[in-house]
Amino acid sequence: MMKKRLVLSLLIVMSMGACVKDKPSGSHPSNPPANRKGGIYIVNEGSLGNNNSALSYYDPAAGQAYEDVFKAANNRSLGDVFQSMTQIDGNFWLAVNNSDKIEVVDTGSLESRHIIALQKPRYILKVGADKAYVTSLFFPLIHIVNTSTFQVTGSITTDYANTEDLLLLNGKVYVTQWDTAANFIYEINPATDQIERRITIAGRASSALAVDKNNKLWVMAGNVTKGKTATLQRIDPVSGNVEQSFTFGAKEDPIRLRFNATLDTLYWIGVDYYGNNSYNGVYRMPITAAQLPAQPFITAQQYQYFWGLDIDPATNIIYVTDPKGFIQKGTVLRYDAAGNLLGNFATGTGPSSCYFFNP
Amino acid sequence: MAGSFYLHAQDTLKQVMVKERRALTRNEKLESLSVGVTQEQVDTLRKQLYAQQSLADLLMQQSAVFIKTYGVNTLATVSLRGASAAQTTVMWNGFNINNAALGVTDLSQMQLSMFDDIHIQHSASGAILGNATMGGALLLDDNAPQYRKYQQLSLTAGYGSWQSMQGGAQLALGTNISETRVKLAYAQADNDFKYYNPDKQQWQRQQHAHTRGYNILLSQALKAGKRDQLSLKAWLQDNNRELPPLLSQTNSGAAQRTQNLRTTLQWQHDFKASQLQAAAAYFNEKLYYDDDLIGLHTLSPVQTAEGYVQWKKETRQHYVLVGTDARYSSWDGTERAEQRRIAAFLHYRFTTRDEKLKVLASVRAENWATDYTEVMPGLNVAYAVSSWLNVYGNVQKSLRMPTLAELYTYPGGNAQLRPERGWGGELGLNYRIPVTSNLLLSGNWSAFDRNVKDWIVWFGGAVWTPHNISRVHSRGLETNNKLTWNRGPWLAELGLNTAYILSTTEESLIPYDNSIGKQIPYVPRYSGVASVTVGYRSVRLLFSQGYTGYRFYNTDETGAIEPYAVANLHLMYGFNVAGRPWKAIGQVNNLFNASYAVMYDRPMPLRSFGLSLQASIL
Repeated sequence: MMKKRLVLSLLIVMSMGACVKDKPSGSHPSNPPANRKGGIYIVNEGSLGNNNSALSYYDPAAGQAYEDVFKAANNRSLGDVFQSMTQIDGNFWLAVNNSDKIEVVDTGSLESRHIIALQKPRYILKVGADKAYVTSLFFPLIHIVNTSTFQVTGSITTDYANTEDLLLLNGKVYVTQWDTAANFIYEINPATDQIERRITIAGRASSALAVDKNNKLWVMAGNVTKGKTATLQRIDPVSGNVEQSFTFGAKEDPIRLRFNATLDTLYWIGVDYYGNNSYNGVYRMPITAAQLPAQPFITAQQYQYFWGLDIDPATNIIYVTDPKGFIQKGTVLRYDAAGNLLGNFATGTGPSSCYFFNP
Repeated sequence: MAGSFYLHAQDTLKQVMVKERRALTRNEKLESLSVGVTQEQVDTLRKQLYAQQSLADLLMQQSAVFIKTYGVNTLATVSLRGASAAQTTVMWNGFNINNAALGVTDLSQMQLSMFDDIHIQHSASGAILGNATMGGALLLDDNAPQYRKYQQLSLTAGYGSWQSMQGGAQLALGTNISETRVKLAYAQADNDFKYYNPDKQQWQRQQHAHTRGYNILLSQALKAGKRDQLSLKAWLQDNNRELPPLLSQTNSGAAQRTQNLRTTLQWQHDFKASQLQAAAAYFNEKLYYDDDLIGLHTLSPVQTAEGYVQWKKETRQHYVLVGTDARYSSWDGTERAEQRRIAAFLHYRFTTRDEKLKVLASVRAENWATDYTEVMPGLNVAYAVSSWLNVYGNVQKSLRMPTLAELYTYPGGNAQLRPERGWGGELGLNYRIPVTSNLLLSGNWSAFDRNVKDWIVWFGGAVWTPHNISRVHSRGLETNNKLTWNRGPWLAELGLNTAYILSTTEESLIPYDNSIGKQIPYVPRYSGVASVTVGYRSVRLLFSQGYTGYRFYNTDETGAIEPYAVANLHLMYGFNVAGRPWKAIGQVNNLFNASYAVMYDRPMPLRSFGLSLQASIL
């Protein structure tokens, strides 16, 4: 019997000694400096269905990143799929897509002031003194929100679901329609909330908008997974004519159309989800180019999918987000205008864009 | 199960030897597995107590195995020894029933009363069980037919919290040459339980969570002459469930319906000194997903046909099983996709005259029509050191072929995926110590180690794609311990099951991957369950206290879900009505009202109750 007790006791002791402590590495929400001026906010989408989206803050002067600043200020999670943010008056408006809400937070304290409930918000644009438009995923509409009362006052019915990007130019609001049946963008009068024109584009499924230094409208379109080749076109917003268009290769999948500070060079991300590297990285093209660039300006590595691209208008530093597949915390990479890597910093899960705040 | 450890080595084989001809439907793989592996069997008491509940409920409450569940009556899959659900096979009467497209089996739809025999095979078993068993297997089997004249009819009914209702019937008719069995089970519930939402800092009631479903199992066995037996089975499942919103959502319009038909036909011929078995199976599975809020409606139909022929010869010291099997699956998902496999296998078991040493050598070769061939050897050894202690070990090579969805879903499927492959091994011991004439201490301890290369990970952005990204190293220690006491009409049992599992990413192709050295998602390092059973005559009281440690919902351990400890209580009273045995069962789930979640953002219910009555009519 002694022998049996000895064997069992030895087993117990050995097994306890070999164990690893059970504790997480943890997420550490932290408050950014209260006396900060400006800085960069990072939109972290999280991974769908995990309620782990987050707002991060980066102080480029100090080179310091602050994690999950919304949670630090409000003691609760932001929600599921944080899609975009913008500043309206003295608040940040945070579109949290899969939580069907916009969080309105104070730009200083980041405390939530209002929660606006609306279906699947994507992007927000202030279009008038007290009016904002909000595009919507899965629904054929654009929400209309009163920016003083924070109430949803109505909607604009669109032809198809998945309204996406918005831009205000010459007193008109241009909105993309990301549906393979749509070969146009909307031109809306924000005073009347009426769709006044559908401007035909060269491709289908318009997704992104940008304006160059000549006040020309650039539209990116396409849905490669549904067989609609990506296109890029320059449109005269007055006449509605497509002045120049470019067609990408059949498997080239561009996203995130952006301009540099001088509005004369376009940037976008090419994404290859299949582990190849045929079109994977950051591309750029001057607005005077006659053809699309063949090689990336910044090359992504195999199994690295860049997801966000923003250029600081004050410094021309290029911020590229690497979400590492949305299965762990991501990284933001900083490049100078020549494409040299300046450094990087850690973010939340699924970083998708950087918002440059200049109060 | 806590305290229901099943001694597999010598006792099982002796039991087998004395039977002249083991009857058909005995899962031959169980026999092959009975050497040098860690295996648990669900005991009779727990089968009775959980008869009206699902397999997921049983395993969550009574084992240290981790069940990944999205909530009450929602998708629930099993993960053994740090493997993924797709690496853990669920087998029904010897056939792999993991969905060929998704690679998993939803245990929440499996009512326990459908199965006579349930084993949890913890050890990797590529050489014996084939594809997708590097994490072990859950073996669901029917009893062998009783070729004798008898009739049995039993009815069950139950009611519980959140308007949950269950009902069922089982009919069995036996003659000297046939046996007919019919099992029916129905369950529904509103699942509108209360929970605390920490983000909204308020109590809420679960919405859009109604579920209802039924299982029908028909089984017909027939003796054709002195040497031949036939068996036909058909199992129909139909389950409708609303999918509740996440904590971070305001509402949900999502719903899901699964309709599965599984049929098998088996034949066995007894020669003088050997047996020949052949079997075929056909599965037809449909998964409907609808979300009225966003206008999404999909159907995922999968068909699988499988068959095997095997020959077995057994003497006192030698056991040989040799055979071949083939499997064909098709999926009409986003694209039409097919997968074919053919395999050959050989198992040889040697037992010394004194039956102290048993050695099982196995090899299985699989060819997949994507021109991939893998040979999986395995070696199992068990040795009886003394009357109270035996030791065992095994080494196995295993693989998991990518599923149809991983290969061919659009967008995102990756037809270039390679199978996950790995070697694993374990060392274990079983002990059985009579402390006194009434007190018995028994149990099993096992330490395992497994390395899997080309581990498949889904990741991406707008489009998610699976890739062979990493190497994962899983290792740990599992224990099963039981202290049993009985005297006269009294019995008492203390049980303790524990699991300590490290399953970490060791290599990765993702640039700057912070998951290196980190635990993979949804594998708790620590889990366990302690139980106390008290019995007096026909009364049984079972109290169980489970614990599950931190789980991570991402790969770099920066997102963690709090540990939880949940207790459950079951009380069973057996009595006779007109000379027939009846049982009344009461249960309290989550006895101490713990607020917890198994998966992130998906609340679990507080305390709930259930009552059921099982009546034998014939």
